[in-house]
Amino acid sequence: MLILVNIIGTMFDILHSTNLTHRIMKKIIYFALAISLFGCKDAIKTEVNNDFLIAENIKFDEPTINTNLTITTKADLLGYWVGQFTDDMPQNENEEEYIDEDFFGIDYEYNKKITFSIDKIKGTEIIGHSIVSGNIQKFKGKVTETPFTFEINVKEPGNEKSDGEFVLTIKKKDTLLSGKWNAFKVKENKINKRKLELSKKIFEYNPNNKIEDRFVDFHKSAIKKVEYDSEDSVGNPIKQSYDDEQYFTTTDTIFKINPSTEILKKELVENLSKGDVFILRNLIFARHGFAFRDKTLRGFFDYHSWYMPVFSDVTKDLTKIEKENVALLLRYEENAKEYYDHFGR
Amino acid sequence: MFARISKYIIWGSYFYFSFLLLLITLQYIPYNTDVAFLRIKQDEIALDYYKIAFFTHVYTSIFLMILGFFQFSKTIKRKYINVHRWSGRVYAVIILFLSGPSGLVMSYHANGGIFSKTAFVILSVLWMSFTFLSVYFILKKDIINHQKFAIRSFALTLSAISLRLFKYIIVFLFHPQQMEAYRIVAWLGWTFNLLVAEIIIIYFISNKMKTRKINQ
Repeated sequence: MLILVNIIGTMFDILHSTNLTHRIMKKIIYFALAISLFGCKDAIKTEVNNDFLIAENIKFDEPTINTNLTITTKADLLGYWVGQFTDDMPQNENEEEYIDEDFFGIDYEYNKKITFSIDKIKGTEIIGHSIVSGNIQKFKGKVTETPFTFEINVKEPGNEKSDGEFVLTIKKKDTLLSGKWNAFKVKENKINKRKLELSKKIFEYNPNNKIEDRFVDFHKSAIKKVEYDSEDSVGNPIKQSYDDEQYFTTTDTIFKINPSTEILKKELVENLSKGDVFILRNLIFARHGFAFRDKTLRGFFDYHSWYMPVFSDVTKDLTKIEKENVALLLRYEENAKEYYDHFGR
Repeated sequence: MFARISKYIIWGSYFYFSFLLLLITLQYIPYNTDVAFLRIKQDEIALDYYKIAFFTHVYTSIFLMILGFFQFSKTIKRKYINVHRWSGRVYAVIILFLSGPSGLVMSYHANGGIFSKTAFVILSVLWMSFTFLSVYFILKKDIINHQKFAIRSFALTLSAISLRLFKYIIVFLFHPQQMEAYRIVAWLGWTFNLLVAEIIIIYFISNKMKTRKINQ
């Protein structure tokens, strides 16, 4: 910043000392200086911070996965259990908040996908971790065997606001693990009671898992004026316009592109929309079971039946093609973010 | 009065946008091949000749904005003709030997395919030609033609500003895809300037010739 002021300062000095200009010229330079200091870097670009790249690092034991989907012994419980983690609060108490939070029919908070991973069973002791909204939390507790069921009762450490206790049951020879979750800190959590219905799923990386829907971010939009021909009250043709709200979204091109199996060409990427680039990059992570922290991405991939949020960091798992594509897509994404609607480039 | 105000507005915005160009240039100081525009030019920047062309273009072109100001200030032309001459020489040398050729090299690798590549190639060829002709005519002491080509040359120099300004306006109004906007401004950015230059030439220079004839 100081350098810039100096440069303009010397420019002014040169003009001044050689007496080239009148007083007005000085004013212009001061004027230019004033606006430029105002605008400064904001005028040429948006500063982007890459916080979406940083993953929290919570260590947990890799689960010993048991591939039996039907549970007959205790050891069969080991593995990833995936399902819906839904609000179980008494209805009327919450009604007002429902209306506030429900945005265009998308419920981010009330219905989440949960991955309940049972990592170790030692006698009656059970250790594992859960992944909700990209947050990983460990749990510990007991598993008891009754003649017809297994009962799991585990607690999270309690250092986080959202920690709580799970009570789950599964019938022997069944595949459905269901139960309840209660938060420790009842008042601090808007939803402090949830129910779960989980079924065991083996995580498998499949580079051909497809995007099934269009991505729309209702929180990001731009207003575009659309003009149309109309008539006034006496029949003269006039132009009228309305504001069309355009959301950050993807186009149909992404259904034809597979960023996990083909190396993307520059010429292709530069013709994609901002939304396309964003989703293609995150599709790679989703296929590897990355647990997204971003609300909208989570909402989007949670609806895909193949999506399983199991890992908090998948960078090591990416294939060579994917690594290259992520780097390329990210470059275009950042460039678009920084310079798209600015003077600079 | 109106003419005066508009003159100040024009010079004011000229300095403002030159300052923004300076900010864009400063992104590449200290030397770094992985920032800003170069983030999407990684394949090209690996080529040595592109690297040389790019940084020559970025580091030298910014001076044209200040030198251009010296060229067209009437006060300078009237009272300090040597400042006009010397800054003009530097301006011409920069375009003919540094900024122009490097721009031509870069235009061959421009984003947006053949459509925008053609635009940038024509731009850089015309830019150098007009600058050369402007120098040629002043050596022949043909001031009218010197002025005509100097105006055209400077109009193309200003495409650095107008291209970005058009991009900003087009994105603001129509939200096109990034490359689409780039293809449009690759052409619009300098053809519009050239059009304005021709209008200026017709009005101002022909007026000047008329008054000169009357005086004789």
